[in-house]
Amino acid sequence: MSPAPTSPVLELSKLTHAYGEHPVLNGVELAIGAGEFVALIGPNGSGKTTLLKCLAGILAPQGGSVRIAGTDMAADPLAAKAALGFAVDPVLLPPLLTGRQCLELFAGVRGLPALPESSLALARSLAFDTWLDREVQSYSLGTRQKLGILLGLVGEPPLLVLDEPMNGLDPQSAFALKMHLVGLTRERGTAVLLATHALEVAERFITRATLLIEGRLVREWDTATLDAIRHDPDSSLEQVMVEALAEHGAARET
Amino acid sequence: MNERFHPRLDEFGLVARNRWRLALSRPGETLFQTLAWAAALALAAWGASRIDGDRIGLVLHFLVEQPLATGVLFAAFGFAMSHGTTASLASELRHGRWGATPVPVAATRRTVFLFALGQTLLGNAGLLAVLLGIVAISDRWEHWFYPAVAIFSIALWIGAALGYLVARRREAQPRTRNTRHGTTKPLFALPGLDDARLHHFPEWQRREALNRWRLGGRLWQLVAFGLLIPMNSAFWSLLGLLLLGTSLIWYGVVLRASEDAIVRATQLFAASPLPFPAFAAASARYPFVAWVAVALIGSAGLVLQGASVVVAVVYALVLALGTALALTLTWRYRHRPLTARIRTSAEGAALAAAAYQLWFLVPFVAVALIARHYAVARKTR
Repeated sequence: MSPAPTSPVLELSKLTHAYGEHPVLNGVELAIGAGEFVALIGPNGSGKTTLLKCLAGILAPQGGSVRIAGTDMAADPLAAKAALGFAVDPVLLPPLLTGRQCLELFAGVRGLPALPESSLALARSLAFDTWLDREVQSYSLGTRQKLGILLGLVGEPPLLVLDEPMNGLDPQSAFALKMHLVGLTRERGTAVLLATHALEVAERFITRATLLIEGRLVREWDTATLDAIRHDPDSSLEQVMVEALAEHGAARET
Repeated sequence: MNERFHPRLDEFGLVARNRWRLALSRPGETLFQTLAWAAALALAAWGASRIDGDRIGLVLHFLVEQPLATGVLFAAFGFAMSHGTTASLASELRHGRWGATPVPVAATRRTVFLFALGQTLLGNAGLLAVLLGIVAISDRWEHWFYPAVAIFSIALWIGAALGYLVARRREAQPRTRNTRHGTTKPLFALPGLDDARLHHFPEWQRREALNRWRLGGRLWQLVAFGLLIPMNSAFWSLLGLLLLGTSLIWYGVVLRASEDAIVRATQLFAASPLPFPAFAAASARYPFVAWVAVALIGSAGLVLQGASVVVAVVYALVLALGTALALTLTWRYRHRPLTARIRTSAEGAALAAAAYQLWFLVPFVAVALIARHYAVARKTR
């Protein structure tokens, strides 16, 4: 049983963002407490990645606020980012550095004197340890994905944000990552926000799911509802989400 | 980590160290490359020693006699250099892999400043090296050297400082934000521009070119060109020069954008059953239309300046040969774009140099080179 949500680790209030004249986020409200494992789901182009970039301070939202561990991102980005672990997009990794050098750089940013043992342990779990001293340019897509995740998890900050982390991972590594994230939420009270399309993955491990459509959080499933879905052999989160999307589409047309 | 600067600086050092280690781990390759560079430098030095430095000195003397125009020219160069580096580095630190990490704003600001400072220092050192090189092959240099160093350097630093400040002010906005707006609407529709096999590929090249033009591609060339226009010319002559110069600068942007689209399309279609001739025909379509436009505008410009129709036709043909050479080399080295650019510059320069003495042979040599590059490109997988 996951711990009950306490004071929010992440609070999004009336978050808005637009690219040019095209609005992407339309007043998103979301709060995630310590120990919660939340899946952010939604169709392509619904604004998931933009939402994650806004909450991580990579994009400046045009309205609303982001608070991480009680700190406003706009007022004190340094303190807010210190409480945030954000998995790096594999495309953005520096090709001429080794995995270990990347990890040591990120550890340094977090004020850690050396690469923490927890990162090395996770690297072993993900079968990444043999790649640590090779240059990123020699990595496959899945190996780059593993490094991006490891970089986000350096120092195990209280909030972890991952965008489609299972993309390209082999089943063994994907399972190891899920177990590691579940362990962090249960043992350390880490809050995890995971944007994903892999609903069968999300369904088994998450404590809450929220559906983003056209830049709005339109539906939410709490732990009790998710448990009910899990125990019903005729139901699944995938089916429930498809129905919710159909309902939303029908509501728009009427 | 040094807390006064962004960790990107450490990353820069680590990359340099890794490259050095890699070079040491492949001694044969490194030795060959070193010898090749040494040979190329020796050849360049030998070639430079045969140039009459006093002739270049006359041009430099002319430039220092017009300190305002020359100053603006070098300031524009410094601005473009510093603005580009600062904007791209600031954007990388904000939107890239470091975007979500807790790095103090002051450390980021110091690092961006340090990069801009280092680049301007290097640019100034390079400029000084070129001037000293000209001094080495000149007999009379005292009358232009000191004023040139002063004017060029001061203007370069002023321009670089302005470029840095402007880039910092704009850094919150992604660079491509507004430039892509409206690129989907061509000025006028050309039904023949679309390719039957690769629909929209010429359109891809057109949009890429327009986006780069709006981003300020070759802006420094336009500024330089504007400064070199003699203001005492007759109206029609001036108009002709403007048509010729601006169309050529625009064509440079078009060709580079088209070449880059070819390289990216090669990667995109790598696993597709696309015959090379079909790909080549589609990728040459937009540069061909652009050549027609530039040849017409440039020829009109030449005629307005008093040149004969024969000169205008020769201009259009030379432009066609240059375009064909650049395109065939891009196709040939579509997996190695840097090689294509270096060879285009080298072969273009060699042909231009040969044209001084053996102008009647140059078209045949150029056509032979183009045919050879196309044949190799066709066989390249």
